[in-house]
Amino acid sequence: MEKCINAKLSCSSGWLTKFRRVAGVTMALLLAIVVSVQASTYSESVKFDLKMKKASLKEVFQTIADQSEFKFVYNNDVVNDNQKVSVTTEDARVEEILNEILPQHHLAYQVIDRQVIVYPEASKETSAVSSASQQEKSISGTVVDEEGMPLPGVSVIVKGTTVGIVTNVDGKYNLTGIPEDAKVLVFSFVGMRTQEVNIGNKAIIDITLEAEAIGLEEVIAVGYASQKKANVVGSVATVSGEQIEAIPAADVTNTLSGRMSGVTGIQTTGEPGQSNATILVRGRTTLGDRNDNPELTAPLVVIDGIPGRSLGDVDPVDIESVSVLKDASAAIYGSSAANGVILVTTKRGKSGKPRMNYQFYQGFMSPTILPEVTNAGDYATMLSEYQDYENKERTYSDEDIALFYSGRDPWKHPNSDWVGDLVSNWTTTSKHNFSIDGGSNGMYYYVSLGYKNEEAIYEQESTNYKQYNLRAKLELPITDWLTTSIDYAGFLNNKMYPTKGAGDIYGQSTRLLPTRWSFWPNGLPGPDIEYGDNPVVTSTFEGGYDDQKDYINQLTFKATIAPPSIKGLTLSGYYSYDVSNWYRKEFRKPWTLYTENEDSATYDSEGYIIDMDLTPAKRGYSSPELAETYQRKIRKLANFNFNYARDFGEHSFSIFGAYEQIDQSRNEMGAFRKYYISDVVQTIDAGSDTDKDNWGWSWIYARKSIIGRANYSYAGKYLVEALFRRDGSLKFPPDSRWGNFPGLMLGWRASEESFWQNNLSAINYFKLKASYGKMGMDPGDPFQFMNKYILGTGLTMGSGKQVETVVQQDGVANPNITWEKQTTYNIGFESQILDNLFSFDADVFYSKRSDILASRDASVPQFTGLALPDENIAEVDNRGFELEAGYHKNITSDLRLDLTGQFSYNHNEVVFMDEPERAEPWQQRTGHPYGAWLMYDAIGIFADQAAVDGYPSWDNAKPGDVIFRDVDGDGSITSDDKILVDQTDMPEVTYGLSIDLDYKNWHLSLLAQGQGKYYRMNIADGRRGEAGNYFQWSFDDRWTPENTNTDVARAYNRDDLYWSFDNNMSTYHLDNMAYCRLKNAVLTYTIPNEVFGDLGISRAQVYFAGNNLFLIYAAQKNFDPEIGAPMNYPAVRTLALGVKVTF
Amino acid sequence: MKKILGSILVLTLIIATTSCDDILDQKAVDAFNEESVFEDLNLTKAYLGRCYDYIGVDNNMLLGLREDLLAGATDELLCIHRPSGYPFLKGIMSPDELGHFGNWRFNWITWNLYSNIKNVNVFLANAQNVPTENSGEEALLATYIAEAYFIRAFDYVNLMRSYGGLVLVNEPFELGEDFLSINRSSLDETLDFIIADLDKAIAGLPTKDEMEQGRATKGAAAALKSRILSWSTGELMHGAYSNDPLVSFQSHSRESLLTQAQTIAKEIMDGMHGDYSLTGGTDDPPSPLTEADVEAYSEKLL
Repeated sequence: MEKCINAKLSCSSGWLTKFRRVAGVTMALLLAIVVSVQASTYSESVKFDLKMKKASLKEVFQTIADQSEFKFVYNNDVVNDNQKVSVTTEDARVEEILNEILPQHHLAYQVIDRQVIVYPEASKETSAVSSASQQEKSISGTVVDEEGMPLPGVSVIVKGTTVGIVTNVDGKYNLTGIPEDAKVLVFSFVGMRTQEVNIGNKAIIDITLEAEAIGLEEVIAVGYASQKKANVVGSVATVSGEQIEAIPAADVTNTLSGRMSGVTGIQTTGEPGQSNATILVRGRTTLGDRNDNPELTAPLVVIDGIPGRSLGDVDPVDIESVSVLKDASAAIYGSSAANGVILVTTKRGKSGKPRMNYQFYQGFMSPTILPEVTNAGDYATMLSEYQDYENKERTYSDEDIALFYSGRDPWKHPNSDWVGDLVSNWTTTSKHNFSIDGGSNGMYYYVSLGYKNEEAIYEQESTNYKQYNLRAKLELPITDWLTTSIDYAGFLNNKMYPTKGAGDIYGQSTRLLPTRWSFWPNGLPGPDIEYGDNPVVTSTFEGGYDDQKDYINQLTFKATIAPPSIKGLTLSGYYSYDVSNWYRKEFRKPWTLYTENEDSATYDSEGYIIDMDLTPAKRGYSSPELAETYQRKIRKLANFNFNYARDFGEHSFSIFGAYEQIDQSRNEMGAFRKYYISDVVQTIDAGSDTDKDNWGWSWIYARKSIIGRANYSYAGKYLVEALFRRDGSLKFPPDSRWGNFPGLMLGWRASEESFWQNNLSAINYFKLKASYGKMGMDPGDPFQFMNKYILGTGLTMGSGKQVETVVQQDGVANPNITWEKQTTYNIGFESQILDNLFSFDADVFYSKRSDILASRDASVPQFTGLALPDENIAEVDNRGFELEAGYHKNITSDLRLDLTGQFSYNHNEVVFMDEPERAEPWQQRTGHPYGAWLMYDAIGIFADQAAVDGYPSWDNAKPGDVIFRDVDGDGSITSDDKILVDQTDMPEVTYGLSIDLDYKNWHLSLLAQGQGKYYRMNIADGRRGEAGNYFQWSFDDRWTPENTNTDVARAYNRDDLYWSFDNNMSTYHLDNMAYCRLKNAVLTYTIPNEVFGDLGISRAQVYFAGNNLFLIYAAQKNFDPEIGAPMNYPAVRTLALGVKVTF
Repeated sequence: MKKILGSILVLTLIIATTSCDDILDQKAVDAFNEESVFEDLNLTKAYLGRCYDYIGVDNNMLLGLREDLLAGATDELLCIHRPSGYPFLKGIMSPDELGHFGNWRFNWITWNLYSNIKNVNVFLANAQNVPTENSGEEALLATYIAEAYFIRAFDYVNLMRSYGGLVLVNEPFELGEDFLSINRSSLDETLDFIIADLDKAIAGLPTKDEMEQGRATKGAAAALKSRILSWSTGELMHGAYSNDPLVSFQSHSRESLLTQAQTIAKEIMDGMHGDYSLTGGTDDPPSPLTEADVEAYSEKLL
C-alpha cells in the first residue's frame, strides 16, 4: 500500500498540477458574505434531472457543478476522459447520482458542504501500512484552509524523498515510514500556497494552507467590485504587491512601468521626495502637458475604494494588488475616469494565529548617468575658438589654456570638477517594515508599520526624505449578518531640502565654469556667477533649510449587512475621512563665499601663487528670513451601496447600485518675515516688522454620484456587463452639472463551447471581449461658470505708502462649461494555450476625447480684452494596441520559469483646437499629436564656405553652423521652413519583459523595460559659453577647420548664433530618448527552515535587489533617457540587500 | 436583530439624505461675483485700483519702468543682460523681429492694453448703478467714473501712438458675440474717441490738491489731452507716410489740432485745471550745470 502511494507520487512530477480543483478560490469571499448553510442541508436542497449517455465522468461532474454550487475535487490520474457512464435521474440528490456512477469505476466520494471529493476506493484508507522499522517515525495532523474547513487531497511529502500521502476527506493525514533524518514536510495543493514545515520532534503537525490565486482564478479589482480574471470583460492590467514589494524604488509609481501593458511611467527627477514617476494610461487623449499640468493627463488613483488618494501614500509592502482600468471598465468612475483608473487594494488580515513579518533593506544609490561637462582646458579651448571665429577679445590666452591643462597654477588656473565636487559616489537608502496579521471567525486584523529613508546624492549630507507609515485594518463581525471594518492609514512624509531647489543645485553644477573655483586650494568655497549659486555650498544647510512635513491621516469605517432573509443581497456603507496637514518651514540665510585678494598672495620661485588671503562675502539672501506655510486638505467620502447576486441554473445575475458623495476642501495660510538678527530663534515673531507678509487661499470641490453595475452571464460563456454613473460636479453651473457616463462590455468565452473544445483544445482558454464606454473629466478651476472677482494687492496710492487691496475680474465666465467627454472602444481577447503553458492577450482601442477645455484663441480677437475662459471645444483622438504574452512552465520539479512580456502603442492626434490658419499647411497643429513642436529641421553642419554658399542659409551663417532645411524650397530660410516634430514629450511605444525563475530555494525576478522613440532637448540653458560650461557632447568631435566632416556644430557662445535653441529652435537640439533598461532585479534565497530549528521562524529570506540597473540599449547615453533632461537631478541606480522574516 | 437592522437602515438614510442636498450648492470661497462687487462702493473703488495697476497691462511691468527701456537701453549705462543684442538698439527691428517691443517687456504699448480697456469698460458699465447713501458717496462715485475715463484714454493714447486707428470699444464684450465684424476705426475717429473720454475726465476729476497722490487729476487729464493733440499734429499723421485713414487724419487739420493743443496747454499753465505754475522766471534760460553741480549729481548716483 505504501509502495503504491509512493510510486504514484514519484511517477509524475506533474501530479500536483494535474490535481484539479474545479472550484474557484472566491469561496473565501463568498463565505464572508453569504451566510453558510449546513452541509447536509445543501446537498438535500439541490436536486438534479440528468439525462446523459456515454458521457465521461468529468462531463457529469461539470454538468452538476454548472447547475449547482457543488465543486468537484479529484486527481486527473483517477478521473479521466475514458470513464464513460450513462445516467438518467429525476429529482435526484447528488449522492444518489454518484452512488450510481462511481462504483463501476472503482471510485468513492465524500460530500463536504458544497465540495465533492472523488478518490479511488482503495485510497479512502489513508493510514498507510507501516513497515514498523526502527529507523522510521510517523507524523499525523489536520490540514485546513483559511476558513478552518478541512482540506482533503492535500499532498504531504517528506522533502527530498518520495515518501508521502494525501489527506483524507476530513483533511487528516497520518504519514508513516518517515526516515529518521527527515527534516521538512511539504504540504501542497493546487490553488494553495505550498508550505514547508520543520519536523523537529513533532509527532503532530496541523497546518492552515492559504489560497494562492493565480491565472484565471485570480481575483482582481475592477472598481467597486472584484471579479475572477476569467470573468473580467474590460481591459484591466494587474500587478500583485508581491511582484513589487522588494524593489528598492522610491515609491510605487516607479515600480509599475514595464509591468502592465498600456501603462507608462516616466520619472523626471531622481531627487528624494520628488522622484515619483508620472503615470499615464494609454498615453494621452487630451491637450495638456504631463509636467506643466499633471491634473489634465493623470489617471484617477483609487486606494481601497477612496478616489483621489496618492500612490505616494501607500507602502509597496502593504499592497495586495494594483489594477488599472484602461477601457470602458473605467466608466464606473464616470467623471474622473477619462485618463484611466488605477485601483490599489491593500492587504487585509488572513486567518490564523498572529503572523509577524519583518522586512528590511539597506540600499546604496548612485547616479545612473552623470552628464559630462568639459574640463577647464577643453572649456577654454572651445570658448577661445569661438572668440577667434568672431574676432572677439579672448577671455583666455594660449598660456592660460596651457596652465589649465597642466594644473601647475591652481590658484589662478584651477580645473574645477563642479559635478564631481557636488555628487557623491554613492549614498544610502533603507526601509523597514513590520507587520502583524491574523484572525479567525470573521474577525481579522492587519497592522503594518513602515519606515523609509532616502538621502540625496550630494557629497555633503543634507537633502533627505523620511517616510513613517502606519496602516491598520480591523474587520469586526457584529452578528452573522453584520460585519464592520475600520481602516486607518497614517503617514508622516518628512522632506528636508536646502533652500535652493535641486534644479539650481545640480543644474548649476553642470553650468559653472571649470576655470573658476568650486573650492579654493585651501578648501574654502569659491565664488558664484550669480545668486550665490556655488553648489558645493548651496547643497548644504549653510543657507538655511526647507523643511516640509506632511501629516496624512486616512480613516474609513465600513459596515456590511447581509440580510439572512434575502439570499444574495448585501448592503454596505462606508464613510471615509482623509485629512492631511502640510507644514513647511523655510528658514533662509546668507552664506559665505570667498573671492580672491591677489594683493595678499605669496608666490613660489616660478611666480605662481602658493597662498592667498580670500575675501569672504555674504551671498544668496540679503538677511535671514523665514516663511512658514500651513496647508490643510480634507476629503470626506460617503458611499452607500447594495449588491445582489444570484444564480439560476446556467444564468448568473448580479446588480450593484451605489450613491456616493465626495466633499473636499483645502486651505492654506502662510507668513513671512525677514531681517532676523540671529538665527537662534527661528519663529515668525522673531523677525522684523519691516517687509513682513502673509497670504492664504482656500479651495473647495464636491461631487455626487449615482453608480450602477449589472452583470449577466450564461453558463460562464456569455458575459455581459453594463456600467452606469451619473455625476454632479460643483465645478459646473447648477442646471448643467450632471453628466451621465455609461459603459457596456461583452465577453464570450469561446473556449467553453463544445465546438472549440473538440477542435481547438490546444487553446484551453479563449475569451473575446468588446467594450464601449463614455467617461468624463472635470479639470480646471471650480466656478468658471460665473464672473469671478478676486482680491489682489495693487499700487500704493497716497502718501502713506499703503498697498491698496484691489479687486479684479478673474477671467470671463463661461456659463456653458461642462465635462470633457471621452468615448472609448476596445476589442480584445485573452487566451491560454496548451494547458496554460502560454498566454497571449491583445487589445485594440480607439478613444475620442471631445469637449476638451481650451480657449477659443483663433476666433476671439485680442481687442476684446477678454481673458478667455476655457470652453469645451477641443477634440483629440487616441488609438493604439497592447499585447501581452506569457510562458509559464515547471521545467523540472525544482525549476520553474515564468516569462511575461508586454508591448503597448498609442498615438494621439489633435482633431480640433480652434487653431488659426497657419502660414504653411505643414505647420498646422491640428492632425498632429498634442505637444508637436514647431522648429527648424536641422540636416547637418556646414562643412566649409562652399557648403554655406551652396545651400540656402541664415544670414551670416559660417562653416560649422547648423544647416536648416529649406522646407518650402524658396531658396531662403524663413519661419515658413519650420516643421512640426511629433514625438516631443512622451513615448508612443512602451514595452517590458519580466522573467521569474525559481530554482529550489532561489528565486530570480528580472524586469527589462523600455520606451520607443521620442525627443527631449539635450540643452536647455542659453548661457553656455562665456557664462557657462559646455557639455562634453558639444565639445567632442565639434566642427573645426580641421574637422569639417562632423555632425557636431562649431564652438558657440550663449545664444549668439542663429541656431541656438532660444533663437531658432531646431531638431539639432533634440535627442532620441528611446531606451531599454534592466529596470529591476530581485534575487531571493529562502533559507531552509531546518536551519532555524524551533526558533519559531516559519520563513526567512535574504535578497539582493537592484533598481535602474543598467541600460541595455539607449539611443543616446549622454544623460539618463528616462529623466530626459541633463540639468535635472539625475536618476539613481539602487542596489540593496534585504531580509524578510515571517514568524 | 431586526431592530438593529432597521435602525442601521434608518441611520443610513438619514446620513444619506441630510448631507446630499447641499454639497453641490456651495458658494465660491475665494472670489466675489460681479453683483457683489458693484453693490459696494469700497469694492468698486478696489476694482478701480486694479484698473490703475494694469494701466500698463500688468503691474510689475508698469509703464516699462525696466532696465530694458531705461538708461540700460542707451549707451549711458551697460545693462548686464547684454543689450547689444536688442534689435531696437541694433536698428534691425522689423515686423517679424520686434524684439522687446514684441514681448511682455513692452506690453505697455502693445495690443495687450485692450485687457485693461476691458477692465475699464466693465467698470463703466456697472459703476452707474452702484448704490450711494449720501451726496459725499455720490461725489466719490462720480470721481471714480471720471478716473476710469482717464485710464481708458491713457491706454488708448498709448495704443494710438503705436498703431494709429484702433478698434474702439466702450462696453464689455460677452463671449459668443460676433467679433469678426468689428473693424478698426479711422485715426480721426480714434482721436475723437480719446478726446471725448478726456473731456469727461477733465470735467469730472478734482484738481491735484483734492486728490490722493498717485490718482488721476483734472490737470493730468488736460495734459494728456494736450499731449495727444500735439502728437497728432505730426507730418507723418497727415499724409507724409500714407493716406490710409488708419494712419492719416482725413478731417482734422494740423492747424486746428495744434490750436486745440495749445489752448489746453495754456489753460493748464494758467491754473485752470489746478494750481500749476512754472517755477522760477521764464525770461532767462536756465544756466548750465556748474562743475560742483555735476559732482554732487554723480555722487548721488553712486
